[in-house]
Amino acid sequence: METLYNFLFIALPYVALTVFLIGTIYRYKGTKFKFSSLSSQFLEGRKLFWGSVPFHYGIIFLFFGHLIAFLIPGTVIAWNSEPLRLVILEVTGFVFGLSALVGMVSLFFRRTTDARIKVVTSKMDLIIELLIIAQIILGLWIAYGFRWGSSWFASVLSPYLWSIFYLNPNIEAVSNMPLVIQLHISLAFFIVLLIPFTRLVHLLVPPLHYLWRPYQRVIWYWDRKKVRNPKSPWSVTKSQNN
Amino acid sequence: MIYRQNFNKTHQYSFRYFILFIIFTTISTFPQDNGEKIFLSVCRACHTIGQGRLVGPDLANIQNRLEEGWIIKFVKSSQKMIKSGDPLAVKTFNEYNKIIMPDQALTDAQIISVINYIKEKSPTETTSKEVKTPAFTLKNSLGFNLDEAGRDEYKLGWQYFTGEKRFENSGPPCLSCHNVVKDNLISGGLLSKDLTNAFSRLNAAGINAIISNPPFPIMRTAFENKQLTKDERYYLLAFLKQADYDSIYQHPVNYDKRFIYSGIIGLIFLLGFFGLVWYGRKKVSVKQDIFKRQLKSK
Repeated sequence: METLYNFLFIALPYVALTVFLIGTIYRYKGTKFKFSSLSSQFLEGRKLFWGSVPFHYGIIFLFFGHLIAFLIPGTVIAWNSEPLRLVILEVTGFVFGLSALVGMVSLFFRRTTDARIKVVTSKMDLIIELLIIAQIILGLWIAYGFRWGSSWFASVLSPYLWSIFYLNPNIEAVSNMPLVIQLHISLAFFIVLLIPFTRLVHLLVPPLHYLWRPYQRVIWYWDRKKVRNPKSPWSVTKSQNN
Repeated sequence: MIYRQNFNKTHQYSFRYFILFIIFTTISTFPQDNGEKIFLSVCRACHTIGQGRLVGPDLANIQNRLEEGWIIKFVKSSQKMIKSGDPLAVKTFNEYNKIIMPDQALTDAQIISVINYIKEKSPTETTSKEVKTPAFTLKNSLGFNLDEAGRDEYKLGWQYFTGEKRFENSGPPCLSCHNVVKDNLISGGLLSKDLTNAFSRLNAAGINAIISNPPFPIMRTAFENKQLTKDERYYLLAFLKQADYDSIYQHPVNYDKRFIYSGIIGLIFLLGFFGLVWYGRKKVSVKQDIFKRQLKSK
């Protein structure tokens, strides 16, 4: 058991972080144009909205929630010192967790049932989506069954994660955590390990400049009504772009 | 081309060896420690050497009473032994109010070093008489003992428990991991034991020993370099004592259902919000019109 814990909470994190670092740099240098989410919005948009938006907003909230509790645990504990604030934070986290789950499950069904999306789906896409679904379910289970996660994460798991980065891993607490929490931690590192081999690399290149980029005007210079009329054959006015 | 293939292969092998190296070096890293240090940081909260029983039994001359192999197995996982029906493990568990001794991630060598330390510190004369534990006294800075604690002390203990009043050395509030059934107090954490009747189970000396020097690995990590002061321990004990006394008059609430319902209602609002914000979105793929046109013009 001790060897297993050493593997899961010491070896796996270091392997995952090393592979993540080397792998993402290697892939960026090698296949820069594939360093994206490989969007399939052109192929299907309706189901994508109800998958992508709830998932992304959910996972971004949860990611930063975990990150803040890791980086500034004292602040999270101070925030939670008022019971009402603690409940608000936990319930909000749970709502965004459910949102991420609903989003990812619908993205998975879209990917496995839509004929056009199936063509551009690799095995790794399905594996990573299933792993993320499992990870979110574990997270929700922890939030429900072992509340108040935000407080004990800050006081127990944050020191463990810091010990990894200080190269002096202290796994005493995580070795004694309930199994579901241990699985959640291990799976998180496993997903980090897989990032360079999946389209998850897009989380490293978010198009943040879109937030302050000016609007782009698209000006058509042909008769749009005529072009859009299904009765007019292609040969009359050939499409200039698309 | 051949050179390049060989080069890539060499790189792949180096990478694999590098990963294997990391795995083996990290797996084989074990913390080293000596008996005294381990005893003081792990065992002392619940056990004494020759000063009577505390939360757990007095360990004086334990090497004469129990086999080394049995002690090692019990320290590593007492619950496993109890579940397997070991008569001595079950007897000890029942005798000490069924308080679970946490599994200790110690190596055989480390446990033997602790046994040697106990042997060294144990009184040389072995008597069959059990040493009586000295009466527990804990006074706050104003000189009051626990029996003199009143409403104000209880209130302060409540605040320390919930975190409304922060511990001087920045330790996390107890509510993060522990629950106490009390009207007007929100549900506590479910990671660790419910403390509603902790005072009856562990008595003041036991609780004081645990919060002074936590024997449980999770609690030990949370309070590393964040020791509670004497006053803080006093007020927490006053709170737990009163909470235990009042427990039969409380009305437990099912927070689980409330949590789930709040989550589902919140999710519905959130999805509705997304739908409203992006109401004017292009609902089909950008090429849908072109795709349809192509089909019709065939």
